[in-house]
Order: sequence, then structure tokens, then C-alpha cells
Amino acid sequence: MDKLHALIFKATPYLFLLPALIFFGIFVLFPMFWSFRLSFFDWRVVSEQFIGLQNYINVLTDPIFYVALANTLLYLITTVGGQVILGLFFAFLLNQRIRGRALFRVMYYIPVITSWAVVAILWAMLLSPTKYGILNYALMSLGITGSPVHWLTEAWLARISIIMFSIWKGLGWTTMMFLGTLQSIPQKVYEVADLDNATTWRKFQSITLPLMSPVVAVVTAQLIIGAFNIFPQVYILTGGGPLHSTESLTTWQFSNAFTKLDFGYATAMGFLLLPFILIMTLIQMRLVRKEFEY
Amino acid sequence: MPGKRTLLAVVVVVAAICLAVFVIKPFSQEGPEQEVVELLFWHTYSVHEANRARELFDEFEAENPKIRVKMEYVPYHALRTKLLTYLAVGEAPADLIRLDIIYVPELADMNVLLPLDDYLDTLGVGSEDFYPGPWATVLWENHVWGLPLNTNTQVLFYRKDFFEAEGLSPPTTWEEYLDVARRLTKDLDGDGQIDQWGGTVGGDWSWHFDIWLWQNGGAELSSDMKRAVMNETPGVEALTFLIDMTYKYGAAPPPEEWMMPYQGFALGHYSMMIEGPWARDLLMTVNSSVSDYMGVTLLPRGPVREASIVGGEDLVIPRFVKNRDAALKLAKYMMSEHFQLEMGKVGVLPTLRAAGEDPFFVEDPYLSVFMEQMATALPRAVHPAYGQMNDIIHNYFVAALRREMSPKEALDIMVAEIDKLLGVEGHG
Repeated sequence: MDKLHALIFKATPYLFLLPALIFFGIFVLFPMFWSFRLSFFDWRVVSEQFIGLQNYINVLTDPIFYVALANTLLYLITTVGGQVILGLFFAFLLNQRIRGRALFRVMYYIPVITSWAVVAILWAMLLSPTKYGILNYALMSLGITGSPVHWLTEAWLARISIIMFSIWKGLGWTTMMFLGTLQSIPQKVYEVADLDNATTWRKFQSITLPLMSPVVAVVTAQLIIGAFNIFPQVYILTGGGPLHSTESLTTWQFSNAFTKLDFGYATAMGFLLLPFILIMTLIQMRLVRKEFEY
Repeated sequence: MPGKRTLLAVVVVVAAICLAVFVIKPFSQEGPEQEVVELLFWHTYSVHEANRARELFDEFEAENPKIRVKMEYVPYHALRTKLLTYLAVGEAPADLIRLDIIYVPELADMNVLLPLDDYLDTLGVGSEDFYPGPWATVLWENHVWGLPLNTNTQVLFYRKDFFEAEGLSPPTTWEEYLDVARRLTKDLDGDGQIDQWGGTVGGDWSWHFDIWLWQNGGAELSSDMKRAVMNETPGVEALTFLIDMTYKYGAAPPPEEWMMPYQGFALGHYSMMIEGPWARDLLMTVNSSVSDYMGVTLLPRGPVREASIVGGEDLVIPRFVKNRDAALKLAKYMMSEHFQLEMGKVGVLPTLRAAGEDPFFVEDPYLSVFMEQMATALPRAVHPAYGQMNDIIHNYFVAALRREMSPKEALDIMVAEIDKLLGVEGHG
């Protein structure tokens, strides 16, 4: 009887894990292996044919893949940089004793909790490249520009529009993360510095910045992983256009899979990116593991 | 007492799993009694249309007590993906599906639809019963893959008030169209900006170009559907006509001045627009006194022929359908003059000639124009890759309209990309 008890005792944690593991197996592991298999097939929903590495060759010889890769890196650098730098800036501002501080905090956070699709459609209306677009109308009424700006229809302006939108949407989150960290730095550290007649800049440089750096690192790493998945802002604002010039890796993958029904191409693309994302994740894990003490 | 607690935990976990497996499953399988067949119909009707369809299905059920019809609304953009997911595992998601005409050849080519050639007698319809445009949309590789369920086409809307003020009558040829467009383009307040445009291209999707292409004797694909041909002379001339109307003659707004055609028309910015039967309701939302200003007539005739475009939906039955006989029975009902006419009354134009020739349409000054235009309405290339072709045409049509490339350059790239696609698709 004791042996049975011991066995049950040992088995308990696994039994508790079981439901989650079943779901994980069905919805994560199985699709992963299945899509790896798919990447070697010309798979067209109801028919399939083994074609070896052809899908991988197709991806690597496709000029749009490189456009999408370059765009994704551009989006990554600009949106992550923008969100971190502006996030720090606004966190400091919102940490000051200013009138209506709570109101500002709510305002900055609202974009974060609104639905991507909804605000993307609103931005598309705002940035509509005709003279009836809201922003164009405002710019033209104020005499800033004489003719409508081609926000979403000219390659670079479209990319800039996507970047602006992404930063606006994520800024509230980085601001809150940084603000929380700022407020957790013990006041006494600053008091000691005051005793030593430290200047404001000196306090920022020697206290605030080092104590915030682990959070900045984690936030940055999180944003980078997220930036690889940039999708709704491109899909809804430009659909990858004009002429694929704003395509990101995910939108190009999506249109290959679900519009062209070329699932082989789409999965091969995913696996080609795997090592890249793996490296990013390893770097992130390193950063998170690093310990800091006040 | 760790033993008891552990036991309890195990019992809870096992009970939870049992609950999931044994309790939930039977619930989900609870269905109607075996006697009655329940048909599932996937549709994309608007609420208004769906309500009328429901009433008509109620009539059908009364006559066929062994069949029940369940309607399920699937959003237009989700339908194709949802459908493919089911088909990938060899299941029919629904017994009947109302599908956009452009997706029929794609699904036919995948061999997931029930070919209806052998059932046309049972269904009591044949090619001669339908308008030719909609009928063409169900054919792929000499088989019938669906039934034209409802259709639409585009006609010329013109501002009666503007035309009357200038003593003009609606254009019947390209020359007249351009002439009228130039005369009706005006800077009303003298600020150097055009406030009233005579013509408008209307948009940058393939159908905004197709009409002009066809009217000039051109086509999207060669007659054997193996290569794209829109860059031949008729296509270049047609696109040049639209570009010249916009830039050379300044008689239509450039893309950055576009608004939704119905808005521009109702607000008096546009004197003419080419639109479908839904436009009247849309115009009402902007300016409710529609009858005061809205004139409707056939599209101007092109240098070579008359032509407009076929839109609409086909009724398809998946190959793996479970209740084939009942599904065919319902399909037959939906192809009846009664169903087509009644749905027509809520704005879903019939594909059946007999219904279209009913006094309801013939005597209606608005709808009769659409039914008359149906006679020359053509389908877009009935080809499995049309969805992708549509995107390619759109991409370069936009580029030409924005003068990023010349009409010839745009059409050449369009053809090169579509040819590549047709080759890749294995139909080359």
C-alpha cells in the first residue's frame, strides 16, 4: 500500500500537468512537426507532392522575401528603438509631480489596451492618401502642404506610417514598465546621493540608469521578439503594398499560405527564420538571467 | 496524511478528464431525430437578405417536412479560409455554400466540389435558363461546378440635375463619355480647384479596368486561358483612355482626389459613376432625395462591343456532402423562379432569365437597367488563379493610375507576372 502511495505521490505532478501537456502536444508540438514536414511538400490543401528542398530554394530566390526581411529588420530597429527611447522619456515625465498625472498615464496606456484591428483601421482612415484623408485634410487646411501626402501609397511614406503607428501603439506599455521601475528605486538611495551633493545628471547617470538597465534590457528583448511578428499594422494599413514594398516576413508568409495556398513556401520561410529567432531568444534569456541588486 | 490528499488530487484530475471526455462530447453530438435531415447552408447574405431567405426556407420546410435548413452566416473574408480548413481534412463544412463567383474555379480545380453535370435534370435547370455571364462562372474544364445563385452588374449612374442644366444627354459611346465628362468638369467657386468632376475611374480594382478592356475588344487571358493578353493593343488603348481622361483632359479626378464613388456622386463632386445595384441604398445614406438627382442608364458602348461585368455568388455543394439528395432538393428550390424572384425583391438580382423577365424587374425603372445590362455582362477570367491575378492587376493598375509607369509598362509587367503565375500553377 505504501508503495502505491509513493507511486501516486510521484505521479501526481505529472497528472496535474497532463491536461496542459495534451493541449501543448496537440496545438503546439504536432503543428510544429507537421509544418516541418509540409516544408518539403508542394501541399495544396487537398493534394501533396514531395519536392525536397524546392520550397527552401523558392524562398531564397524570391526577391520579395528579401524585401520582407529588410523591412522586418527596419521595423524592428525603428519601432523597438522608438518605443524604448520615447518610453524612457515619457516615464520620466510622468514620474514628475505634474498636474493631471494620472490622466496622462491613462491616456498613454489606452492605445495598448485597444484592439490592433480597430485602431489600425482608424489609422488607415487618418492616413488615407487622398485629399479627404483626415491628416491630409488637416495638413492642407493649415497650408503645410499644397497637395495630398501619399501616406500609404508611396513606399517610404508607407513604411514610415507603419513605424509611427507601431510606436504609438506600444509606447504606453514601455512607458508603464519604465515608470514602474522608476518608482521602485528606493528614495533613500537618492537621499544619500544628496548628502554627497550629487547633481541631477550625476544621480541619473549613477543611480537611475544602472538600476533601470535590467528592465530596459528585458523590455527591449521582449520588443524584439514581438517585432518579428509585426503583422496587423502592415496587413491592415497597406496590405504589404504598394507593390510589396512594405511587406513584412509575417504578412508575406500569410499571403503565401492563405491567399496563394502555397503552404510549403510559407512553412519553409518559417523554418529558415528559426535559427534567427532562436539566437534572439538566447540573447534574451542571457539578459534576463543577469541579476541586479539594489 | 499526504496519501489521502494525493488520492484526492488524483481523483479530481481524473474526474476532470472524464468530465471533458464523457460529458461534453455527447452534448456536442446531440442533434435532431434521425428521421429528419438537417442541411447546413453557409451564406454571406446581409441581415435583411438573410431574413427573407429564412422565410423562404420555412416555406421549403413546410413542403419538405423531412428536411430542415439551418443557415449559418460566414463573413465574406473568412469564408474561403474556413472552407479550405474543412476541405483539407476531407470534410464538408456545410451541405450548400453560397460562394463568390471568383472562387468557384479554384475549388473546382482542387476537386472538392460536387460536379453537377449529372444532376442538372434532377435540378430542372440548364445553361439556357440562366443569363450567359453568370452561367459562365460555374464552368471549369467542361464541367458544371455550381449553380449561379444571384448576380449583379454595373451600369452608368449620372447626375440628372447636372445633365439637365447643361442640356446634355447620357453618353452612349466612349467619345461622348469623354466629351460629357470634360463639359461637366468645373471649378464652381473659382479657387483654382475642381469641385465637380465629369468622369471618374471609380477605383483601382480589376473590374474598374476590365469593362473598358472588354469594350475595346480586349481580354484578360487568351481564349485557351494559358497566357495573359491584356497588354495587347485593346488593353493599352483602354488604359490610356482612362489615364488620358484623368491627366490629359483633366475630366476625372486623380487617385489622391478620389472619394468613395457613391459619396462623390451623392455630394455632387462626381457627375457620373459606374456602379452596381447596391449603389442606390448607399446614395440614400448620404443624400436621401435620390430620385431628384440619380439617373441610371446602360454603360456607353465601346469601340468594339458593349460590355459590363458580372458579379455575384454561385451555389456550390462540397464533394464530401453527407446529405446529397436533400442538398440537391434545396438547390432545386433555390433555382426556382419563386425563390429567385422573392430574393430579387430584397435586392439580390436573379440569375434565372425567367425571374429576371418578371414584371417586377422589367417595369422597375431602376432594376430594369441592370437586367438589360446583364445581357452583355461578362465574367472575369474563370480560372483557379483568379484571386491572385486580381491582386496583380490591382497592383499595376494603381501604378499606372498614379503615373508611376506608363500604361504599356504597367500592362507588360502585369502580363509577365500573370504568365509566371499561370506557369507556376501548372496550367501553362
